[in-house]
Amino acid sequence: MIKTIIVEDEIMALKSLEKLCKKYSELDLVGMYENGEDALESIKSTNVDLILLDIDMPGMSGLDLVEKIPNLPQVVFTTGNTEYAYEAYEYDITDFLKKPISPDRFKKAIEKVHNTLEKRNAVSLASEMHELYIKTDGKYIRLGYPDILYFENVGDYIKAITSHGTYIFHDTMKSLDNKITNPRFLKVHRSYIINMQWIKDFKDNTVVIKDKVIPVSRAYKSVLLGSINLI
Amino acid sequence: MYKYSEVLDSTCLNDLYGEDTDYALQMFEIYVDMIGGQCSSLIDAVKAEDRELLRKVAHKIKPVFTMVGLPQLTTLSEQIEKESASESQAWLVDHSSELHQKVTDTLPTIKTEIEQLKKIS
Repeated sequence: MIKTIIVEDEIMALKSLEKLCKKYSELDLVGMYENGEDALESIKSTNVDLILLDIDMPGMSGLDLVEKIPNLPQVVFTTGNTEYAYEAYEYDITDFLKKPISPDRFKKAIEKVHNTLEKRNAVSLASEMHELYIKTDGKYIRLGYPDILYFENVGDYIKAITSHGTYIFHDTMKSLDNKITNPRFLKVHRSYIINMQWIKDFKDNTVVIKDKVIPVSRAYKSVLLGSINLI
Repeated sequence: MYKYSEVLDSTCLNDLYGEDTDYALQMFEIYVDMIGGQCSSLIDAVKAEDRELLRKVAHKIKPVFTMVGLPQLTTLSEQIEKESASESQAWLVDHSSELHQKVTDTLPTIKTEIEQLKKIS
């Protein structure tokens, strides 16, 4: 389902968009707003996939609104003036519809939304398989999975030890374990997630990665043994 | 296909609503409810010589006329919107009054159309 909101101050256009949305079962219309301020509050608290957004509204315009959204979902601008088109396309929007909107033109816009969604999902999947981004010192740093040796829990923080340095970020081991999709990573202790490709050796209840001796809990030892090619 | 009044532009109405006369009825009813207030706002803005407000009101009502088969009034609104900053006050008064008058003149047709649409819905 594509969580959709409409932001439109003119009642006929609002109702018309609502009607058009209802023709598409995949569009989950979660909100309709008559001004940018109310829409922004909703967008901050809800994960929205698509905004059908009027440009020329009193107070906060559609263009002002997209400036204020940190992770911009797909936006289809709706307007009575095509002269806004150039400025609107500066924002990497999905489509631009001139009012009044015909069902045929709306259909094309929804097809574009689907195409964009497929592309974004493919990119996101590729990213999840190869890397993760951690927030540290006010910026996001990319860590490629092959470069990560292990993660260590330090209080409310996680230490990522990589081949090119150590990074500390705020997270929990449980949450991190859920976010890592690469099968080479294994939780071996409540305070450690290791990258198995960096294991140098192991014995009893420890593994060695580079020169670091990492404890392996009894509960995770059988998982570790079942995950490596033991001769 | 439902046949609209000859006064209305059936090409644009068919493009917008196709066979969905319930949708057309809903839009026509909203139009009747709101257009009087919008026209009053337009006339108030021109009387107050508030050109920016006039531009905004003209912009806002511009597409709604096409939605009830009156694209010529969309064109007239667009003219007012575009010329709101540059044309003389007399020009703005004339054109705003013309728009108001045409809205008033066509309102009975829209209301009749609503009754026709109700019969088949």
